[in-house]
Amino acid sequence: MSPTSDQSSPPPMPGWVRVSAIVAAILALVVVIALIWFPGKHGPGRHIHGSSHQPQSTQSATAEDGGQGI
Amino acid sequence: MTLPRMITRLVLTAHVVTSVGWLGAVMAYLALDIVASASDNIANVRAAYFGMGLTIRVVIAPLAIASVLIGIVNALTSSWGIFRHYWVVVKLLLSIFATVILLLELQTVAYLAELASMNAEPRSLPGSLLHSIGGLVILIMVAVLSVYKPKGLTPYGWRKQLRLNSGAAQGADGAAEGSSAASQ
Repeated sequence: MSPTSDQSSPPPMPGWVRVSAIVAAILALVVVIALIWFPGKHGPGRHIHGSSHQPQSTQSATAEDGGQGI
Repeated sequence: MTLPRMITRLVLTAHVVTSVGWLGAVMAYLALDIVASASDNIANVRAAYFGMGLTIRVVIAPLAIASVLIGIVNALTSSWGIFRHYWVVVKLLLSIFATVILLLELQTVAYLAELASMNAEPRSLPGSLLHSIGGLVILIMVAVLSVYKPKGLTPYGWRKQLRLNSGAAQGADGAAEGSSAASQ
C-alpha cells in the first residue's frame, strides 16, 4: 500500500475495514430493531421512571437470606 | 507535532497503562455483574451492586476518559497520526463509542447500586450484563488492533505520505546536485 507503487490514486479500502463496517452496520440495525420492538426497556432512564423496584425495608430480606453462596 | 523522545515515551506509557487498566477494570466489573445477576444470596447481590457502582464511577469512567484523551495525544505526537491509518481511526471510534455508552450507563448503575442497598429483593434488579460483555468485547478488539496494526492507509494518510516521499526525494536530489557542484 505504499504511495510509491501507484501515485495516481489512493489505495482501496482494505478488506478488513469493509468487513468490519458491514458487521457494525448489521449490529446497529439489530439494536435499532430491538429498540423498536421493545420500547422503554433500554437506556439510562429505564430503572428510574416508573420502576417497580421501590426501596423497601431490608429487615425482611436479611431474615429470608439463608446465607447461600452463589 | 514532534516532541522530545522522552515525552513521547511517557505519553505512550500513560496510554498503555490507562488502556490496560480500563480493560482489567471492566473484567473485574463483569465478575461483579455476574454475581449481581446470577447469585441467590441477597447479601452477595447487594455487595456486588455496591462494588459495581464504586468501580464504574471511581475506576472505569476515569480510566476510559484518560485512555481516549491520552490516546489522541499519543497519536498526534507519533508518526501514526489519527487519520492516516485505518486501524487508528477504527480504534479511536471504538474507544469513543465504548466511553459514550459507559458514561450513559454510569447513571443507571449508580441508581441500581442505590436501589440494591435499600431494596428488600435486590435479586430482581436487571443488572447490566449485556453492556459489560459488549464493553469487554470492544476493548479486546481495541487491544487486538493495537497489537496487530493491520495495514491500510486512508486517502488522507496516502496523500500525506506522498508529500513526505516527494519532499524527501527533492531533498536528496538537492543534496546530490550540491555535492556534484562542489566537486567540479
